[in-house]
Amino acid sequence: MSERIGEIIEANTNSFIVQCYKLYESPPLGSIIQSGTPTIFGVISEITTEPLDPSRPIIAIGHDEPTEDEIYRSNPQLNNLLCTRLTSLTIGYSDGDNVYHGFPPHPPRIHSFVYLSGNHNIESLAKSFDFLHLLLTSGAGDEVISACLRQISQRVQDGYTFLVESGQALATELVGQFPRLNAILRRLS
Amino acid sequence: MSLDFNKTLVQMTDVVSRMKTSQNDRNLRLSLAAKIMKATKENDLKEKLSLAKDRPFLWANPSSELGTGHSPTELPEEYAVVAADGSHIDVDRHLPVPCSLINIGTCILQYGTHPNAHLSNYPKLYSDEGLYLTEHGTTTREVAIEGPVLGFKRTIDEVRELEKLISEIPPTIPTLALVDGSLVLWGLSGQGYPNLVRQEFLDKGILPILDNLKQVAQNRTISVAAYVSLPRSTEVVNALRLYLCDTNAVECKRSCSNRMSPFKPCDLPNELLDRELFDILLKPGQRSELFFTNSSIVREHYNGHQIYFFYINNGQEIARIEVPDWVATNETLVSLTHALILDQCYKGRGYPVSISEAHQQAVINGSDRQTFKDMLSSALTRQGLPTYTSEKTRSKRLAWL
Amino acid sequence: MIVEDNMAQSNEQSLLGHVVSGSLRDGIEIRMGNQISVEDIKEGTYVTIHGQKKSFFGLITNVKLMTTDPNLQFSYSATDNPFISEIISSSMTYGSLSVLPMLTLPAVLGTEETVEPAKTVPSHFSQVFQASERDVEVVFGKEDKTHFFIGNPLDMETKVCINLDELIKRSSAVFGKSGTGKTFLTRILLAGLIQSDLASSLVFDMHNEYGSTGQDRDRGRRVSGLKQIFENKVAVFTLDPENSKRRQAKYDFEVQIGYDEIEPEDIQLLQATLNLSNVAAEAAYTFEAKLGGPKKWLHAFLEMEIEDVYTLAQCNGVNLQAARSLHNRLTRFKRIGFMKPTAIDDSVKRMLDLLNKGKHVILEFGRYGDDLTAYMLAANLLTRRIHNRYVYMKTEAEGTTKANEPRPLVICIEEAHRFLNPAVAHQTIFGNIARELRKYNVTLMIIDQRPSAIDSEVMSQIGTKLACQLDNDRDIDATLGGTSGSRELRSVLSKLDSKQQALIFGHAVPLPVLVRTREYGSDGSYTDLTRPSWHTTDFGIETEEELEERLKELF
Repeated sequence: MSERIGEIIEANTNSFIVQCYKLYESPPLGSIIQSGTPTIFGVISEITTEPLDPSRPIIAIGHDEPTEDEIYRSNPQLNNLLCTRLTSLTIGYSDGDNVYHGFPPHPPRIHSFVYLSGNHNIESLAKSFDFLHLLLTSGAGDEVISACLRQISQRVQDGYTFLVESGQALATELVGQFPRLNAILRRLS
Repeated sequence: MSLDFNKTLVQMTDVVSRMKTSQNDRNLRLSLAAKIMKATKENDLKEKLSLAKDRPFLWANPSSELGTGHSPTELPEEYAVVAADGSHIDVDRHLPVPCSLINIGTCILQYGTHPNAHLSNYPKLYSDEGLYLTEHGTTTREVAIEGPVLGFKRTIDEVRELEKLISEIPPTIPTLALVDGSLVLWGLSGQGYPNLVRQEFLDKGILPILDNLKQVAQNRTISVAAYVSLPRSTEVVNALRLYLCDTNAVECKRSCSNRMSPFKPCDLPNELLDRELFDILLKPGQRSELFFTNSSIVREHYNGHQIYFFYINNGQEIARIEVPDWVATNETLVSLTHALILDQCYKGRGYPVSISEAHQQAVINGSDRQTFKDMLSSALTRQGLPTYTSEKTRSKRLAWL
Repeated sequence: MIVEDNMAQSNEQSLLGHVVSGSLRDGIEIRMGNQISVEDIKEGTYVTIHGQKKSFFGLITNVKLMTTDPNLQFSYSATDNPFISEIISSSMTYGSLSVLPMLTLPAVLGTEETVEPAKTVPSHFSQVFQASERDVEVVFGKEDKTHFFIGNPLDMETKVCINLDELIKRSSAVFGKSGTGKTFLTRILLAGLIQSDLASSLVFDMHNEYGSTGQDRDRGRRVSGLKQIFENKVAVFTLDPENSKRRQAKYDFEVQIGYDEIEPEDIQLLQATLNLSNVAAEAAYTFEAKLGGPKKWLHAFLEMEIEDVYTLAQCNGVNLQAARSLHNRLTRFKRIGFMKPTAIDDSVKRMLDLLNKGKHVILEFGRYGDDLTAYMLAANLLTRRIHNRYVYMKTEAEGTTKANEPRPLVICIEEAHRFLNPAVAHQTIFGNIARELRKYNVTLMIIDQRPSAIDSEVMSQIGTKLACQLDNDRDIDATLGGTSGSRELRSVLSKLDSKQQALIFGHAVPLPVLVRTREYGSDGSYTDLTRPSWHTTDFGIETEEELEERLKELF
């Protein structure tokens, strides 16, 4: 099992928000993560860095620092006061044996540990393209979709074939929206 | 009903216009006073001041000239700053169970090759006997720990915390421990409180802590300081006043007050504040000479621990820094304290960042207070005990129509 | 089990796609799968559609390029990005086929169910396969006595067989521009008739191509005539023995036509060729009446001086000019070699005898093939007399057994539009025969390059048409006129190769078929014709005597 990346701090049936244990240490946009028992799978659709306490605004303090790293070195409390949060769109769940696409019957619990999904689970999820429909209708944004597909292609056996097949699935979903399809395909190529 | 701003504004305008007329006169006196301070010689000063006794004002003893400014030294490569700040919920008559809460916030900041930070807070709830100071040996002579007394307790808790925080830092790293406010428990002077209180907070309170810290300082480089922002102190102004004074003590005692004198030339620094003088005297980044306070509390009850202070121009304001004697008499430690505080103020944009973070950790805001009360009610309910609150509270909660 | 066999075999064939829309009238639209390239599909080839309850057999009439998004053609350029190209070509673009469903095939082979014309359409998403050899065989029937191998469908080795029985039940036609292989095709058809022995044929060989050696101009070689291939089965008659001898073409009999055989009707037929006015042509009737009746009149008329003609004309109210032009034209007959006052032999009787015995008669015209007058006169006259005989025989046989009926006869004529154009169709014997259908066991096989010139009523009586390349719209219209699916067939017809391809439709085939005609001219092809796959002994080599000998040996 891969390392824990954070905990769920907000959850509903179609998405959940994760706070990462370490500032700036999150998987990239589009990655597939999993959490909870029964396991729920999601696609990272947004990564935000913000103050832990919403009432404390961030201001620019590095005017006299030579580099950005120096700002963090000179103000080590920043690591404690800022946090990285992920928003993840739910795409599937597992009952232990099988992987299903779609929303789970119940959302995951708050404080569930969150992990990066392994290749085995990703292969299972990638067997069909039902999740694409979920992502396209979730309001995720095409960038998330292309990031997700790119991520998956790097984890499955035949990445190129996967990309071609996902392109075909997208063509079916996006009938009549050729410019949009073209934009996504450009990202994938 | 909300505040009637119209009526308030009229009064404010009057005050401000009066200020304006007196402002010019004040400015002239300030610059003159500053000039005199710069010109004073150490020996003259000490001579005149050491003879002085029994004046109706508090003046500080300078360790050298009045008006000298010292520039800061280089920061060390590795250093750490720790700070503690507290916040409390006073005993509330409207609560179903009388209790109080002190929340101590701490901040550890380490700089250098391994920058690190640790922020935390520790709440402590007091109830029943914890709400009273009982004289040793009796069961009935007691003082309620509430209001200003609770404030003292909090201050002690804050300073005590500094000890713990210092121990978190590796001993090889120079460390500055900061706290907001004063090392002098001003409120305990005079006859306001029974001995019991003084015993609790001095003999059993701050003095042992100061002893420990002095001990620790023998084995590692540490400094302890209290930071006062926008100080209203006039101890140095009064020292100047004394220096200028031609009148004898008896006359003075009869006619003068802490704030002003009717005689010349010592009426020069009337109504002036220390910080205003040092605003002229100190360039940004500079500190003043060290002074030690003549407070009766320190003189009579601090058991040999002399509290020194100096002023510092951090670029945004003049702040007052209080340090124990073992810091004040150590040139290195003074420089360290000066440099580190400047750095902290720079990082905190005018106020030491470590103290403000400790404060953030400590602060109990309005909704937290409400949550505290709700939790209390829930706890009582769970135990099957009755909960009730005053009607005043109920009416405050829901401003119903 | 048989159904499974059928299906299993289908899976081996290439799956082309599935049915998405369409109608019985307008054809079925098929969405091609992405695994097949559009460029590999040809119009005019066959597909089998596996419907829910039955299989359909159809003809591809159109191949189209389609996209799922009309914007694609404006927004996309293939050279941009190979990854995107691959996806778009495999998901947004696809080929579409138009198929005319023509037949339904039995779901289970070997049962009572037969191949029938399609009366409905396959259901949505039925799978479509390229027709297998076996499917074609089921549809067109195997080669046997009544099913004659005529050619192969495009890109297939299966034999397409026409039903000879159906072919000769009604008149048939071979159309095509000159040089497109009509003659070859006709030779093959005649060979089929000879091979099957279902009917006798009488061929008016205008250009001496059928009986004896002909020319394959494209390949620059000589090809055998039907006489050479089938020997004793074929009898060659000639109107120009000199010419035949010169060509070293063997002939069996010489034909002469006597004046006494010619009737005014014949003159009428020749009106256009002889350039006679209506009046002049009709005058022949008057002269016939006045000059001694049918057998005598022409001889007498030709012997007359022109002044006498005038007199006769005047006396009988015939226009003088007309009379003169009539006399003038008819005098030409004297120059026609085979026209004699009286024929030496009753050629017609001879022909009839042979035909009745099951032989086939080819009449060579020699040099007279180029003389339209001679050709038309001889053909019309001989046919009329033979037909009369047939009518007689058939009427006699009515009420008795079928065995007494005269043997079916197919009369093969070239330049048929001369005999069958709207102006004369009602008057010629050929027109009559066409309209009679098979009333008297006589049908036509017409060979022509101008089908638009043929009377439409006659065209409608033609049961089977074999069309080689035509480029004239009117000819195409005339050929297809009234056939179901003619709009789609039109497209196929207009794209035929100029050689060795024909579209066959009508009663003799279960559905219109585009074929590459079988070989005629190589040694192997002759053997195939004389020794078809279904016949164990080869015939045509043995004479009747030899056959008797054989039989004797056996017993």
